[in-house]
Amino acid sequence: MISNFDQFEEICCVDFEFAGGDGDRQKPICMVAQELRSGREIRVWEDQLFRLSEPPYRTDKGARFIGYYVPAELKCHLVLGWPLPANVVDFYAEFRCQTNGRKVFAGNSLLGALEYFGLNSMSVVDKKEMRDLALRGGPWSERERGELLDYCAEDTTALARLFPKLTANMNIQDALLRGAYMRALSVIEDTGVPIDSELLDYLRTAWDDIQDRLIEKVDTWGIYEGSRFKRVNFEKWLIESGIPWPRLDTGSLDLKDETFRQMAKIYPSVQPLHELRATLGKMRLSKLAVGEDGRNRTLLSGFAAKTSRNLPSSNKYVFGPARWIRGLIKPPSGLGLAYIDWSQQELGIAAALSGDSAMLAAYESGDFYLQFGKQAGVIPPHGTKETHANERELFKQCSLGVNYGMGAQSLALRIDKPEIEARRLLGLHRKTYPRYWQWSDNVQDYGYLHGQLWTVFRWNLHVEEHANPRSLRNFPVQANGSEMLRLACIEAVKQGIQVCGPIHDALLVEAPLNELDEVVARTRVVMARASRVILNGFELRTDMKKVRYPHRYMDVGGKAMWNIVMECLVEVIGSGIKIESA
Amino acid sequence: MTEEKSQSQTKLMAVPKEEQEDNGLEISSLSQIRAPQDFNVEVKKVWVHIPVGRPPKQEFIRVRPGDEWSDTLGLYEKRSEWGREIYVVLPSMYDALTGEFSIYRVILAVTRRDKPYVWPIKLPGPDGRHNTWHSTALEAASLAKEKWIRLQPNQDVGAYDVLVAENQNFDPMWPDLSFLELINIAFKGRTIRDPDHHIIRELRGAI
Repeated sequence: MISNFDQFEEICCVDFEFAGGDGDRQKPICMVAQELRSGREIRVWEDQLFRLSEPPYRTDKGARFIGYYVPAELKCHLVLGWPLPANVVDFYAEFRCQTNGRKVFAGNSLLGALEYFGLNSMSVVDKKEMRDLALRGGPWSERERGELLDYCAEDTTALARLFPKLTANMNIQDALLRGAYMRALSVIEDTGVPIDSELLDYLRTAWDDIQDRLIEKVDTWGIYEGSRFKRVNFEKWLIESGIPWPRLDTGSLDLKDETFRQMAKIYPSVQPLHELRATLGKMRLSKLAVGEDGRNRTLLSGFAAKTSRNLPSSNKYVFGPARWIRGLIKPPSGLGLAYIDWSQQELGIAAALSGDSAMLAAYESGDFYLQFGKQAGVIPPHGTKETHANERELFKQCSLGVNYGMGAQSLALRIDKPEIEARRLLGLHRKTYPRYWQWSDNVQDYGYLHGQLWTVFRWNLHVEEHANPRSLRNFPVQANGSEMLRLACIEAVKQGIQVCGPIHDALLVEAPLNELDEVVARTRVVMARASRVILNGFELRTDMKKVRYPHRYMDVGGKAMWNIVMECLVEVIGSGIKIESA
Repeated sequence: MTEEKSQSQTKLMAVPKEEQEDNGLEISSLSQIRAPQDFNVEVKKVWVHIPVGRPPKQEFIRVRPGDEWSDTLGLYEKRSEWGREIYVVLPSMYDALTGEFSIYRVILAVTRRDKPYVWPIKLPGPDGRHNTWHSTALEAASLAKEKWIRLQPNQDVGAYDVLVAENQNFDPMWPDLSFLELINIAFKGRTIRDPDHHIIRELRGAI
């Protein structure tokens, strides 16, 4: 049963119950561990937990720690001051990896995994009752304590039952690598993003009044009626403005966040409306998970996307779609932040994995889009970003569009040109980067022929019937980008760098002001090394933006909205408020 | 709001390296367990249709150089209310179709979008007279062996203008087939090889 775990002397399935408000650090209530070799079960209640200086199970290299979405368990370790286990296998990540792309009817929770393998489990209702009991907080009666411990033990028993199913085809090295990321993610989730919580309090208090004023200031076209976005008014405005808006198959306007985001890039007049909708649409500000210590903490949901990227809640995480909210990120006194991202990560990955020499040269030129224009013979060799801005923009949109498998029709919309022009650009891309296209065709054909694709560390995608060809082509780029981010997180946390959050292709790190430069330099080395491992020696560049206390972080795309929100805030609460600049 | 009030002092919480035992994972060593990303598959485009005719006037084209990439063929052009079809006439059928077919130089051309065309250009008849459309097309085809060209019909002079693209160094993408294979695909089902062929019977009024 435990053959590929033979090298480990102790294998422990662990589950914690914990409480804690949104944004706060977790407060462990109880813990149950089940050691699989001996069958020994350990149950520990809250008071005892806090008295233990280390866990009642081994965390050294000779043991293995198993959990289901282990950052939850490991954050309890951090709160308790316990060491983190050396070897972690996260059955959530493994279940996701083994079933990614397949239909998982009961979802990806522990119960869903049990159902998937045909193992009976407790009902969802029972589980919710127990979670609610834990989240309610103490004091708990003797009976409630017993129930919570039993519930906790049920989860470790469930892990033990999943063990033979999930480990049968498990590549132990890959599983440990994914576990190492979840271990790093526990530290990152526990750290959180520093927020200007006083300003957030002001905003939340005045939010009802601010919303009305926001609509008044931003929606000068009368699209909103009261606080409601009116489709009819929007359609009328689109006609008046001559904006060809994408529609759904049903014929109605496509009002998805992503569509607004794309359209805002083409038509700048859409941007404020996009920000307004993102701000008001889901009451994002009120759901932002900020703890009492002023830090934004939420589940980052590693491995949740098909590409294995994190999928944190867009309402609870400060890096959600309403970009102006990121202006609330502010380093505490004496500290600084740095946002470090890989430059043109997706293009670099596509170039390196396909081995297209022209595409590699374009990446290495430092300005991919300009170089593409030159390679295609449209921009002369002496052309610059300044002299050929318009042409460069077309090649930029084409390069980005190709990565997402965009067709001529969508590209035409994006560049606001006739479809024939989009076809010409796509044709130039094919001509200029033939090896990339051959590789991309191979990826798609391989997926359809063999029903599977994978990353360098074997995050799998099962290709089911009716798989979208664009998703298949995009998978290696996105999923290996995710592998890259994971390696960087593992190494950065291992080096003691304080990572506040991973954001798609970036890390937000924090350090005392006098150490910030050195931490940034170390992080960039870590990220460069991670790119070399994933891309077989090819190194991606990084860009960086530093923010030192008392300044705040600001996203370029959210700045205009931020200024309007602050203007509204001052109008509502008076001029006594001081807001530090970005 | 003062700066002090607005901020909470937060101690750094990242776990220092020396306090943690990890699984000894070294990023640099991971290169050894890297899975290949080439996704090699043998998938080949099979040509089932190749158009016969002059490439579109909007397209830049190249002509494949070398004697083995062209041939002289007798072609019969059938026009009807449903369109135009071109048939290959085998030499054994020349007598049966005297006056109905013409001799063409048939060459392989590709567009900048890699689309192949079997391009027939009429040769002078027995009297040696040559239509300027055809003679300029032959000249253009000769130029297209070296450069990307575009044919622009000029009705005023009854000939093609030939536009040559400067500074275009892209190599044409030739289909991976022999000329005979290309011809067989291009004229699939349209070869007149015996007197019972429906074209000959049509011309005789037999059907």
